Amino acid sequence: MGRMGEKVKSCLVNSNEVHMLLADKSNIPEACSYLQDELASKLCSLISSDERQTSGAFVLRYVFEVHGKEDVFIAVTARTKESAENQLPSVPSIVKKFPLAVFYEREIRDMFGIIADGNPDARPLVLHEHWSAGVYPLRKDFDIKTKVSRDTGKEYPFIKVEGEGICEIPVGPVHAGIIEPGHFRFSVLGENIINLETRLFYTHKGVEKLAETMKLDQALLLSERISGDESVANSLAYCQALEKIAHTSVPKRALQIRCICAEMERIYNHLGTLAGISTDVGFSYGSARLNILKERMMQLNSVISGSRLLFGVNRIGGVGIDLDAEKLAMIINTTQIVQEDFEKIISMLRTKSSVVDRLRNTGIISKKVAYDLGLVGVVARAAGLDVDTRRDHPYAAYPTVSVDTHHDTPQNLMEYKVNLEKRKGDALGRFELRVEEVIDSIRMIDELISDLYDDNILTTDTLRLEPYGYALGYAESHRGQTIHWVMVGQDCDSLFRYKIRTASFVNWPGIEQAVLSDIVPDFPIVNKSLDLSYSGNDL
Amino acid sequence: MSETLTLVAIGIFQTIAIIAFAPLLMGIMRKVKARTQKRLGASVLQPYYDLLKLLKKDEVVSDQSSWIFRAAPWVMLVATATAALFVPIFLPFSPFGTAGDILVMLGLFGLARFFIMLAGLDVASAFGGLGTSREMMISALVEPALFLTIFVVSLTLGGTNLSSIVAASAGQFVSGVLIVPSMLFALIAFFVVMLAESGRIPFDNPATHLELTMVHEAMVLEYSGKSLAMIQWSQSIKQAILLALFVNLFIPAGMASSIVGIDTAATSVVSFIAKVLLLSMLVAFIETRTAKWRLFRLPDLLAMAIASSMIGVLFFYL
Amino acid sequence: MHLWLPKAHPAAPSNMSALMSAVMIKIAIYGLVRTTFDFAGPSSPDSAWWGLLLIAAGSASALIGVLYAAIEKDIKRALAFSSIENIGIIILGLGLSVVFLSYNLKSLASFALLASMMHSLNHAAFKSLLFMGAGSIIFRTHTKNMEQLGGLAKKMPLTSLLFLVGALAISGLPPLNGFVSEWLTMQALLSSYQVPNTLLQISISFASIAFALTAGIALATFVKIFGISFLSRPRSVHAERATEAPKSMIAGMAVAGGMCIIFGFTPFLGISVISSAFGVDGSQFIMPTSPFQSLSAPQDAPVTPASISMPALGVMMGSVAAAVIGFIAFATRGTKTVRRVYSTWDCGFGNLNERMEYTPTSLSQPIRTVFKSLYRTSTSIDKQYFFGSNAYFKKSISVNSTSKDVFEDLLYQPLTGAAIAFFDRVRKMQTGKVNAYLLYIMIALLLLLVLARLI
Repeated sequence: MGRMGEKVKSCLVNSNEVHMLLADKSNIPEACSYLQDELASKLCSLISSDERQTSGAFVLRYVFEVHGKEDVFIAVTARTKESAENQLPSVPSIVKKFPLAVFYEREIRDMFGIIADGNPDARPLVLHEHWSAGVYPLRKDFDIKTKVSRDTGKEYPFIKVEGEGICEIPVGPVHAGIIEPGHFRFSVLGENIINLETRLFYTHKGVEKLAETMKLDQALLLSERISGDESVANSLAYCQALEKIAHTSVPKRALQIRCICAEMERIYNHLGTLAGISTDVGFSYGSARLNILKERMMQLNSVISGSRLLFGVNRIGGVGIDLDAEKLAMIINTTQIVQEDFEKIISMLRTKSSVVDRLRNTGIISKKVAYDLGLVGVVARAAGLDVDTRRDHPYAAYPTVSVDTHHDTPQNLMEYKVNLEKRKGDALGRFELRVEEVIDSIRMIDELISDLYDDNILTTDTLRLEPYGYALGYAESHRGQTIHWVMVGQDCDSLFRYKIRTASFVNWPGIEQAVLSDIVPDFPIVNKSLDLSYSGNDL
Repeated sequence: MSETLTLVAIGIFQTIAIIAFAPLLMGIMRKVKARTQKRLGASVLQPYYDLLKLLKKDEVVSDQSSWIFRAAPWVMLVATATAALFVPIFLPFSPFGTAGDILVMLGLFGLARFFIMLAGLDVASAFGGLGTSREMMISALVEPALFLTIFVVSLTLGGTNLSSIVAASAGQFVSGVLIVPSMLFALIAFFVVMLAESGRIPFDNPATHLELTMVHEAMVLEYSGKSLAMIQWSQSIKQAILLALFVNLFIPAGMASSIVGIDTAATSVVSFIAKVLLLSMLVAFIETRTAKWRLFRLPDLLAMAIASSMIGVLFFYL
Repeated sequence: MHLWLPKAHPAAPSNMSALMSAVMIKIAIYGLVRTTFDFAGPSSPDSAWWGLLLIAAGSASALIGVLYAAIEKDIKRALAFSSIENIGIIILGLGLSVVFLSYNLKSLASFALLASMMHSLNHAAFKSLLFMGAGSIIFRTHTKNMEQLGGLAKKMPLTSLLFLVGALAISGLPPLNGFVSEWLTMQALLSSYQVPNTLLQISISFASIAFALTAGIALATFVKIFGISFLSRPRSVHAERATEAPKSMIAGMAVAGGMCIIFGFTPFLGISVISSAFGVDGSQFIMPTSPFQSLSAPQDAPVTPASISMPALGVMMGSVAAAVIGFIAFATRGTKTVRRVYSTWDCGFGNLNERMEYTPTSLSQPIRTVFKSLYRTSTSIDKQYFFGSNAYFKKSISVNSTSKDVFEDLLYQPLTGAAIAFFDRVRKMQTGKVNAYLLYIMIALLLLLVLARLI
């Protein structure tokens, strides 16, 4: 840790996590810059928790993911408290160097009342204008049953684009189709988009606060419902965090079943997104065909897990469903049929010049933007960033299967690197990448089923948690990396703090950059090709 | 005198038929679309149910709008229905031919469009403006394509009087010279124009729910109840007129040259219905198999239509 | 004329503008007609070039005029550009007449002349109306900039109704007078096949593309001018405080509006005025001598003449309207529907304001994009950031969009500038899109076809 030496008060290692507690909060920017510049790591979450009762201060953890071969997370930890009565605690802002931190800092300001000094964007993010000023719901002294009075008359200050002829197009939160709510404010000159600002968090439902009132196994059900179509990934991240705290080893068969379900989740969602892209370019035939495949996968989900959305798969210490020979045969059978049909449809779509033309060069996210905003998942990969949590931080049974075939041989790797450099980050790239991932997922499922262990599906060990123990859990959903930070309560059966950072939360800001070279009627395609969840973002 | 009266009666009957069956045609096209997408689809009568339902519904009008917004559906329906008077449907002529020609029909469509574009602006919402500005671009470019197509048709078949050109077309088919190269190019152009004018893919997606991509739907977004019913009906009439015109100009097979007998009249009616149905199915099928084009590539398609009918003109002269 | 007209009109007071468009421009036309027919006296095919020149100049002027009218923000400049357009149409008709006369097609020649003169008569009516309307707007709002107008239909109901009549007429929509003269011009264009010269036939068909495009854009332009000025919300306090124009102004407009309607429904009135003034011999083709007779173009013998009858059209529209109203009343009998007035759909966000309605610049942007090589619009976006070049924290954004009058630059400025621009364009051709290449190939193909036929 070289030159950071005297500024770090203590260091703590827990499996693949390194926690370094800073002596003083003023060192935050320096420590963060050090991690990014010297250790090639990137900010992947910013967690705040109200630990005034236990340690007398708010604790902020800037979680960095080390990029490269090593599977390490580094958390820069700092404390802050009210310096005087009625004055909000503050930390120095890191947005100047880390543009992606702005959303975390705004979120923390809303939920904890901690000011990030030097962040020019002091607008509320999570809590809308009608929320009473000075009420911070994630503080421990905010009771969950509090009825908050409604303020009226405040307006969210969107950036006002100056110049004659500019007009604003307000879209949402209520849309014409059956989609989730979100407000988009376009500033346009005719069809050219000059600026776009999003206003989200209409489906904010207090998930993190609610979790603090729950038992651990109740919170598992909650984690599945953060965003219905990511149920496996989110509950997996939650379970893994608890298993890491307790050092539980999960039976191999359970790990494999987790992966099978996670890949099945990826398949049906990618199929849905591809169908959605097809709808949005006005090619209804393709979307009708793809939706049939999605429906087949969802019916398969329902047969093997009892839920079309794969609820109830994960348990703390294992899985809740077993796959007998009949179900396995069914999975193999269905995925094979789906793959055959899928390949036909995709080759048909690729020959439609009208479809390909709509997607090519639409919604470009450059590699620099993707890096600066810390984008994850398909969106980041399509922009040329080589990130995949399944490979970078292997979990469950992923170490035993080849997640992608690009890293197998040096030659493949070289080709892949060249390919990455060529990626443009447009909607077509994201489309193709999803196609590739569907095929990969089916292959992985085959691999996993062919050497499925005969084993228990739930660990027989009892969960040995310690009070206020904490750990990170993570998984790669079809949208990208989801990171959950779990801190158990004093009684070891409840949650003290549950911070969820989904892929959508990091990827949403990308859309404001992606549309800048586009025209208004192409926005729905950009939006769909990014595949962002409102519910998974708003929490 | 009685002959004139019979003709006028037949003309009015033709017009009422096209106005009455236009929604059915829309229903059939939707059904074909649904079936080709492996959906069951609503009944072919659904457009009628929609119209009846809408007629009986309360209306909401924008507080920003002026009388233009309220008048536009009426103007649109009257203009489109009047245009239907000039179009020969089952017979190769319309008795109102002396009062107006194909250019009058275009003028009436223009009148309807003018008002609906104004209505889009009248409600003070960005969506209406979006729709109007896109329609401004498309309609400005459709105009030369359509006029040049008419140019070719009137050169080849003589004049712009719909009755005489349709009769000439029917006559030419009988004598076996339908395949005039200039008419083939005009056919291509007219097909593109027809798609553009009736707001179908690749120009506009009549089934979209995305406000930001709409053209026609965006202009009429604020309409409800009776006014919406009138707009939808006018749209289907316009589409039916264009389809009928296409069929009678370019594929006049089976059309009776006069009203001599019941059997020829019946053949004429049956063959017309068959041809229009086939054409509408073709349009629906194309719509299923093509994506909506990028907004700023549409001028290319229209330029293609203009060039195609220009080649038609050259073929005629050279 | 292209050069001074858009500048002269906005500078002159509105009543002068009306007079200018009604009389002064027409004096120039009159001069042209007299020179053409009295001195040049075209009667042999050799003089067809003069007609072709007029056709080319007319259609180019019409197209250029309307293209600039379409993107103009200043209401008076827009109307002035539209005058250029209409003069183009008049000259086009004149050119056609000369061409027809050169080949001794006398009836067609007088028909085309009739079209041209009808259009100048009609133009005088509706353009005076529009200029007076614009004058009333400026008188009440003190601004010519359409970006500042809006919502005047509610503040100035009579002015808006009369302006609408003018806008419908100038867009060539039935049943008003603009439609009649555009119909005549179109028929004259369509009759060009009777000219026994392939090159001329093809040139005229190109001119008709320009003419139809002009008509299409003119409709869009007047949707914009009327829609932006009179409809939706006021875009500034000037427009918000506007009141109805004084009675004297309304009266002037009503006279002009009445002329638009009368000449629309009964074109024979206008035709008889013109035929007596120019001594056009109407017996050579079917020309209405009574209100209900149809207008039609002279054609070759076997072809049924195309004709329109404006009074009949009016009657038909009226009866259809009655039928429609009757039918709707019948279909909705027994049901009580309520019409509620409520705010425009805001997607549930609320607070719609004047910034959220379409602006004239935005409205014409698609057209500007299609014809961008003619406008040479440049849009500069100036973004200020909080942290230097860190593009994620925008402090402010301002946009400046300008379009230059290419023709002013290219045609009237020193030759060197034009040459440079030309070579720039040539350079651009080589790096253009596939579509552009296709277009060049197409044009080359057409030229080859023409050449092959002629040699």
